Amino acid sequence: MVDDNVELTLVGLLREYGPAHASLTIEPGQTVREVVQELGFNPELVAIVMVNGRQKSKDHPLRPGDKVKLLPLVGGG
Amino acid sequence: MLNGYGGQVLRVNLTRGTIEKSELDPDLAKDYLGGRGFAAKVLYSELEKGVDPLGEANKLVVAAGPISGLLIPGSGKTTFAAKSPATGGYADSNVGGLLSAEMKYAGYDLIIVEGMSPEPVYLFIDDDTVELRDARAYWGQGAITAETALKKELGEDFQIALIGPGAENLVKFGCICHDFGRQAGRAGVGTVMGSKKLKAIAVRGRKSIPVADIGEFRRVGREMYDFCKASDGWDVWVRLGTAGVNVPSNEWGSFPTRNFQTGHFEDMSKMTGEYMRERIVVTDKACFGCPCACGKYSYTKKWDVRVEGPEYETAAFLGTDVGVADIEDVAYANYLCDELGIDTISTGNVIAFATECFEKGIITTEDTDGLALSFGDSEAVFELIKKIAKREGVGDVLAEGARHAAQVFGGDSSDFAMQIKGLEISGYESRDAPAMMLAYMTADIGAHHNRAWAITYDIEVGRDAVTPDKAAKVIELQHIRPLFDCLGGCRLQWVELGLPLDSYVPAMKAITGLDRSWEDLIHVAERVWNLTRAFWVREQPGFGREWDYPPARWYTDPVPTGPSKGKVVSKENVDKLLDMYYEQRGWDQNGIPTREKLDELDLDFVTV
Repeated sequence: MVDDNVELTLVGLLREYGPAHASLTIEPGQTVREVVQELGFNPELVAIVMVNGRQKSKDHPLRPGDKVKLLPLVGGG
Repeated sequence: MLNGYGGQVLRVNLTRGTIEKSELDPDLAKDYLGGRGFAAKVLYSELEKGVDPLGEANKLVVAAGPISGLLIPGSGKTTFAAKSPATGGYADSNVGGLLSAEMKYAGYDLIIVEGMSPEPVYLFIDDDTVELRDARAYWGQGAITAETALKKELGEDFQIALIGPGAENLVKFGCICHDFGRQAGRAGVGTVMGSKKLKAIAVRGRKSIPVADIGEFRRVGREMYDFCKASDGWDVWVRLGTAGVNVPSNEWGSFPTRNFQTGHFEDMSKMTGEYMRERIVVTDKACFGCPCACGKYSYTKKWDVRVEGPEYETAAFLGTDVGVADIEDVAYANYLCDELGIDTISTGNVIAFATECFEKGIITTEDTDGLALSFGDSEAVFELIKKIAKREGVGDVLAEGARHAAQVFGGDSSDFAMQIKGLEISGYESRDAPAMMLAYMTADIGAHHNRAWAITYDIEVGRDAVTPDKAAKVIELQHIRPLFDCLGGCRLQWVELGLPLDSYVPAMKAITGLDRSWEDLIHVAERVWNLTRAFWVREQPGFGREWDYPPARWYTDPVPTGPSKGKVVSKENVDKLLDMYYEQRGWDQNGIPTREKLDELDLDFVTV
């Protein structure tokens, strides 16, 4: 059921919390924030959310087939 | 021949009209590296104690670093420095672009401008030919207009740094502008240039820079570029630039809103980096040698102007901090500031301050030349920008900065004049971020974020914590980030793309031939930090802890709205942060470097 999945890329330090690239099954309408919480880390650690190459908020609802990239905040920079 | 350097120092005296060249001292290069390091050493050693920042005795320093002009990612920064007319203390401010590369190709690492010209002039540098030329025709012109005209007169291959009317009129936050919309914007380095009647510096260089091991340099440089281009963050950073931070900062509750009354703006739909990209960005713009063009060049149809930006800081201060929520209005205000040559951060900050004073009844239309002020009124913002640059009416008061304006306006306004040491606070509301607040309190030009961007550390380790590790992180960042300013480099490849810091070690070895460790380079950054602190101690009688306090709003008023609602850092915790910071720095409890610390850093010529 690949069509139900989103492709997730974790950048930089977020890879401590999950694989660099993963294909995840989501519930329709699940938000980025909810997906991050399911992966088991604090959504505040995510600085920038990109969905299909466009910046979105963490409360953006996802659709099957979306390509999601999460960039970390840098722990002091 | 000093590997990695142009090799010469240019000393220009505008009073006498003289130009001297000398060889760069290898010990200066070893002990201070370049850029901000050169600037701090020159200003501390050469300025007489207590000089008037706008008088003949102040000096303007322009400095490149050892990586400037070489193919290392982000090697396009130039430092400008002087005793600040805004704060009365140490100031340096840097600008990205192409200037320092051109300086070094002409053979100069350091330009020291002394004295004061009777008539407007510009400094013309074409390799070995250096002249002071008549600039009366350019005086009064906007920065973008005059840069265009100078390029027409001299040729496209000249790089130009110049001032606009704001700095000519001695607005205390006048910028030095470069490359059509970039600025060394903070603490009035442009104002010093204006006081000297130096309209511009135009440079062309056609020599090369000696490098110790060219093969190794190319290998290391290539590795650094490859890393940046392969970074997963690269496409995001190029797409959005610093405006990509608008959304997360607002989500953190740190986006300055209505004169820092809060840190969260309600409707960001026309303020996001994504909206800006789709609506107004025309193309990307990079500095010298940069693989990740974070500059955005925009056109707003609404106002029919082209502008570089708006950057994150400008979106905060000509946007939400003055209550404006449309990036196109921000872009027009940005254009006005760029052409008039005044700092968008300080300009927006003082306008926000005046607006809060007006809404609270501390000032009225009698004080504002009949202009009614309210948050969100972009037309009033445009009007005030022009008044400030011309020093007209209330603009003349605001042109002196928030600290001074609070003294004039009276009431309790100094409690919410959002400045530290006389410099307007930049774009992070910090009542829910104690490390970031400490970074602002202790930044060595006044409240600026670029010495330590510690807010992300607050979020990572727990925002309420007031613990020694936060002071340690601020100190660590206050060495790493200013080290980039010594090298002539940009830190964004490290911060945003994760370029490893230790990649600069083999790069520096290949360039200079000197085998220096990362710790050794950081030691230089610590030396410079203590030297700039000593500059403040020397120049400001009674300098100490009181100078590091934030405005009362930050330790008395809990944040009223947004994700940080109810948060404030108590005065007790403000002092606790300073106690921990001073102790870890090896300073006394009044924040003065000890003799022992100064000796450890080979600062034996410094007296405190």
